Amino acid sequence: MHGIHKSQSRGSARSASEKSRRTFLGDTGMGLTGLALSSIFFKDGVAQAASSGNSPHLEAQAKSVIWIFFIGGLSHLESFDPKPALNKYAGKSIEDTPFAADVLDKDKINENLLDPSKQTREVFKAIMPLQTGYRRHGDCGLEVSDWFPHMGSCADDLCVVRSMWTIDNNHGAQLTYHTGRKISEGAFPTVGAWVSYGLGSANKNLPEFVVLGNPSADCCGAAWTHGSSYLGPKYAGVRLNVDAKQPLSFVRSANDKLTIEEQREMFGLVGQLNRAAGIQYPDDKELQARIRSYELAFQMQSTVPEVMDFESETKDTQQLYGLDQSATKAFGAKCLAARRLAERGVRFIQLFHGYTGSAGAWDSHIGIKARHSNLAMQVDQPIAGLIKDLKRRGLLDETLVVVGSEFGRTPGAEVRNGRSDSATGRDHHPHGFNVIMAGGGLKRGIVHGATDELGFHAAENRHYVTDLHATVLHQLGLDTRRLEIPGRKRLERDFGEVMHDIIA
Amino acid sequence: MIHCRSRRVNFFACFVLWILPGVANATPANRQGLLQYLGRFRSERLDSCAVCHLRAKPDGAESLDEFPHNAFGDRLRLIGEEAAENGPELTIQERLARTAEEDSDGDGVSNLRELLAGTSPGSAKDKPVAAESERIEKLLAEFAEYSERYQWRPFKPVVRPDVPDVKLTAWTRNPIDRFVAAQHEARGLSPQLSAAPEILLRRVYLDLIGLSPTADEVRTFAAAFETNPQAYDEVVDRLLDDPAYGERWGRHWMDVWRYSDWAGYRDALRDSQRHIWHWRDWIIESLNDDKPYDRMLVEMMAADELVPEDTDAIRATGYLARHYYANRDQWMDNVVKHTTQGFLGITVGCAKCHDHMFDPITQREYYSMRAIFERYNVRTDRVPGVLDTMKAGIPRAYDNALTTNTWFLEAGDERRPVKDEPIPAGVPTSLGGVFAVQQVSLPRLAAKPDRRDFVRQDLLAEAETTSANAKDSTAKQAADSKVAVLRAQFEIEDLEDTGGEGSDEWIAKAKDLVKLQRESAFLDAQVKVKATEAAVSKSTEDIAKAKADEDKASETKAKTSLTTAKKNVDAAKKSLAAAQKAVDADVTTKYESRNQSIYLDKSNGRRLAFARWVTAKENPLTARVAVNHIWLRHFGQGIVPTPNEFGGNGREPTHPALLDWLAAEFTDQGWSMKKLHKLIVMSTTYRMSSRVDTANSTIDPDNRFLWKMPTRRMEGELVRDNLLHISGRLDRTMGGADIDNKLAQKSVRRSVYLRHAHEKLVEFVQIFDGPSVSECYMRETSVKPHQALALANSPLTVEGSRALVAVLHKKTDGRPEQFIEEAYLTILGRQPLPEEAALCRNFLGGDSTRPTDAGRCEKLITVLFNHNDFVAIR
Repeated sequence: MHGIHKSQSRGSARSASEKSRRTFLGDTGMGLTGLALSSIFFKDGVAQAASSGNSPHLEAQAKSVIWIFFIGGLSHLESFDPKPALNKYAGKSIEDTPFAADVLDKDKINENLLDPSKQTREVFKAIMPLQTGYRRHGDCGLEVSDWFPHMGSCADDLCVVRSMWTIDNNHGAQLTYHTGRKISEGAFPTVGAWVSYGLGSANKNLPEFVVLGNPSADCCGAAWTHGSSYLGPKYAGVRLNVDAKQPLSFVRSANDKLTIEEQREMFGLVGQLNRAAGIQYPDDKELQARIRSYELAFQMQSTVPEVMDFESETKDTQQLYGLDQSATKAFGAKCLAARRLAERGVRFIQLFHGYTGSAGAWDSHIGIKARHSNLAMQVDQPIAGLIKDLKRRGLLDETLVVVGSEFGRTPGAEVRNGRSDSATGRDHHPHGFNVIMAGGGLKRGIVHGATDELGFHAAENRHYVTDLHATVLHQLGLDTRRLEIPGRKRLERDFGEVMHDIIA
Repeated sequence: MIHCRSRRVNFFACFVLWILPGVANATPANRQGLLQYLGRFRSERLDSCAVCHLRAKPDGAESLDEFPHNAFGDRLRLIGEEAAENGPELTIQERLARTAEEDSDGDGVSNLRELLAGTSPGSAKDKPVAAESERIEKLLAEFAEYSERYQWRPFKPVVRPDVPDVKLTAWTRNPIDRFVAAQHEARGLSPQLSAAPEILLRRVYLDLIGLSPTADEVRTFAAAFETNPQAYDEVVDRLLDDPAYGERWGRHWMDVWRYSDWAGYRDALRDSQRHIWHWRDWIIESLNDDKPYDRMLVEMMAADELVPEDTDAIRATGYLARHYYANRDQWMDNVVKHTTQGFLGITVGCAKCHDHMFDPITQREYYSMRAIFERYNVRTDRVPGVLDTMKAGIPRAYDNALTTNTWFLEAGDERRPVKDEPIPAGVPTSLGGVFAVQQVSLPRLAAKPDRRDFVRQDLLAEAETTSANAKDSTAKQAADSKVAVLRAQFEIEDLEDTGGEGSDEWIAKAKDLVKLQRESAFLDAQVKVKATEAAVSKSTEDIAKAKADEDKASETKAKTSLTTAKKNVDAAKKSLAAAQKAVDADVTTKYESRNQSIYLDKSNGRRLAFARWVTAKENPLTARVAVNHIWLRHFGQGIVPTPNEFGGNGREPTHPALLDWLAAEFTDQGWSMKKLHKLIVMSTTYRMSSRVDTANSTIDPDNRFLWKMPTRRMEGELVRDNLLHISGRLDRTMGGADIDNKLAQKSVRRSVYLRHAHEKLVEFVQIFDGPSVSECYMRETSVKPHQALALANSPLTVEGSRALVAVLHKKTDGRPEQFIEEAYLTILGRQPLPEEAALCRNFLGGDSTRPTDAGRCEKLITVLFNHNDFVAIR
């Protein structure tokens, strides 16, 4: 054994080791030796906010967020932002409306786009009429398009923001919607990762940040849309399948003789050994994430199949989410799983709808009527079911539901020269679009902000996407400006401003 | 979060811009030039047209006349025109530098000062206020320093830079270290000390061969390290000679060259052509032979034109038999897009619909590049011993026409080809170099591969086997006659191939062949008559039997068969009569040719010309891109962080001078990859510890400037391979057909041999961020509970633990202290810390006088396979 170094001690100075050790143990959330092996797993319901060094900054209104994302760009004009002017001027050019000067002002169009020279995009001027009707719902009289009747039936619980804008006119905006940064700037922590970092878990048996459904495709952010970037992989979203039999691969040991107690002991030792070795690598975020991932994985072997098993849900509940119909079954199951996860203390549940492997199903450059109405049918009842179910269980106050998309769609019809399907769809529209929220301590049955007459620019109470993040964080008791990592400069636009007007 | 998917950053800008505005605009290249010149010194105010133009917005302007230059813009234009008349053109950056001290608008403030202040150097009305002057002078000094930085010009040929002088010379072992140290010194970073020998050993093993060292190898090295200064050097040489090197680096290059196994749908070219694994074997063998990188690229793109009869080399063209979509346009798009991204680090694919926004590539040039490939297709050539190409064969590229049929597509729309004139093959002129197409004449056997001797021998052998297995004399006669026909066909083929058609000899041979073929047909007809008569007898017997059994259903069925059989007899007899008639007829020379594929005897030579242009030393990108790919896979981060994007849309290199130096060294060393690996792993930079240092991480938290060795995580393939290798179960057999991906938990072969296709991926590998089939220039590294479950619960771990415990328990007689040490060395390549040993000891239980329970030991092994240090490469 000559010459073997007992440890990799040549590296850094000894004197730093004690400090490093403390830092490391702090970062991984618990002490090392002397703990009974079985106690290295936290019991249900024990919060662990201290682990990230960030206890809640403010009094929390909500405990969990269910963040629903439509991939490809939902038409605000045909969902929650009715524009009768589009019907009035249908077929005319924007130039021939009284709003031309304001709407078509180049400066205004370029104002929000980051690097406008890299984002040249034709403004389609021939106005396309609304492709669906609108009607008023609830006591508040909220106008909701006829493609979303079930959500309309929740009108008195909804909080609609009609004045969102973003900086990218292509689908990289999917990433922007989650990080506030343009895709060419690279990966940054997503809103879910900040929540996970800021709050830790309310349930050590499940990840604090779960992703259901297929995320954005490679073009548009992919895993970055639920990533944690420099916060470290520990805070990234964990993808689960909504399938009780196989919610996770390798969910059972190939050694069928191994008892759960034996495995608990083994996973416990893995954690202890990793912590012991990790003292030499106090800032290794991957190691910290791996330690957490083992603790989680062990628990998830039993908790996740249970969450995804809807046996215990009544027939009535299953129907509420549309599990009995083929159009709504898939997304309904995700919404129901989301409620079950929120109930169990998962902080941030990110649902994706409309994965296609490219820009996303909602991206309706052609045939918007057929596409959007079909997609709306898949999500409308499940989302409404979720809101109603949360409400009747008394969970809507502490659960914030957010529904949105990377941008809206253009008031003008998209011209595709020489094609028979020209002018049947709408192009990408970053200048004004809507998000729909419910619960979580927000006002109910209200509309906040407005786009102009044509639904082009966000005009009143304009909000950049990070304002949505700031508001979500605020409801969870986190102050966006206090979420910062030394050495990682956050830009002004990263923080966002809380939408105080919509908070109850 | 650096990863496989970094490409999204690049592409994104491409597919946005399918419609361009109808207004004149400062060209993106000029704007880009301005931004590059100013770098981080660009003022927000400058992102406007008013720097060079009279108006801030080009609204409605159709030409420069309607959107005129200001004094500064005029000056830049003028100096550019002057230079173009007298010599080489000046870039915008060069023009900006030459006019920096001038005052174009005559407002008393120099152009550069105005640019730095954010005012217009072309408008006397817009100038910095006096109070600003102190700030501007400071900016000017900083900008001067910034301007003297190494000029990274990826589109200009590589010029080997001088190796910088550094203070800490004792730290540097080779030029790499001097470039790295220069950055350390400029930024106040202090490099980490050397890694401990066992850490270094495991690192270099995993890096070069993808397999960790055994406990004994760790011990031997650690001992030798103290006494033999050459110990590390010797290990590196040994590893580079290990055939596992080709498997390890083969997988890396398979990512870049987007290897996909055949997806397994009949004979469809889906994901790739059937039997594509021959290309994978060629990659591994070539790497092990240290075949020069330039040669590998040429063979992949044009081995069929370069060495048309070299079957081994032609396996390389599997690179072109790689495709997913069923549509030829998409196929061509992918070839152009990935060939340029993979080999040249430029996104030529962006120019499909419009001129490239950031790089000097026009839309027309995109189609010129497509024309290089337009005429190739893919076929399967036979291999010795197997006639059925569905069962075996070499998928390969070949040209199937000599004309040009590439059309310019308006806005990249396949429905809008401009068919006035086809686009000739060509390369982007901005990259320089010589693209000289010369048509290639192919040797006879390349165009007529079924005339190769082994194919003929296989055909004869097949016919002779039929003869040997013949049931009766007629059948035997028929089979023998086939052998004779084949022999005669071969003779006449050879005669024709040497120009003998029409000669007396040919007439005689043709007549003989016709006779043989008629006889053979007659014999076949006889066999057929016999067979059909036998069928009649069989059906008659069946009817009798069914009647006896009173089985109505069978009787009806047999009767139907009898009717058919009788008809067949009549038909066979008719054929026999016709064959008899043919035998008796006058003999002609109209023989029947053998059924075989005949291909063009020429190839366009376009691909070869392109391959030579790509691999010319003067090509500015090829060597830089290759070196960056190799660096990326040693350090987990590229010198250019976007390995498939060296153009304006990519990210700036951290060590541009080092990259240029390495590129020059690489080509000067004959494009030897092994020499480059050795240079890199012998550097002090590579041998640093991966431990963190607070002072350094404050300055450079992402370790971009390499003050420590980055910790990496094993790729999914390595996790699997090492579970097998460490437990002594790995089958080191190399090459051969891909193994069903569903067998990944049972197979004990290396992961590179498991099927990897779009819908046929190895789940275990994918959980550890396995590569995408369509594109993967860089792997991602995530940490997910799914990985913990895969490592804890998979059959690979359970069986690996079982196998390893048997070995180690025996080796240590089950003595707990020894067992723990041996397990650490075997699995993690290092000794346990005292604290770790104590934890393990406690886990094993019992006392040191008796052997420990093998069951506990097995669990400890599983635990160590799940240790972070197993998947981490420190």
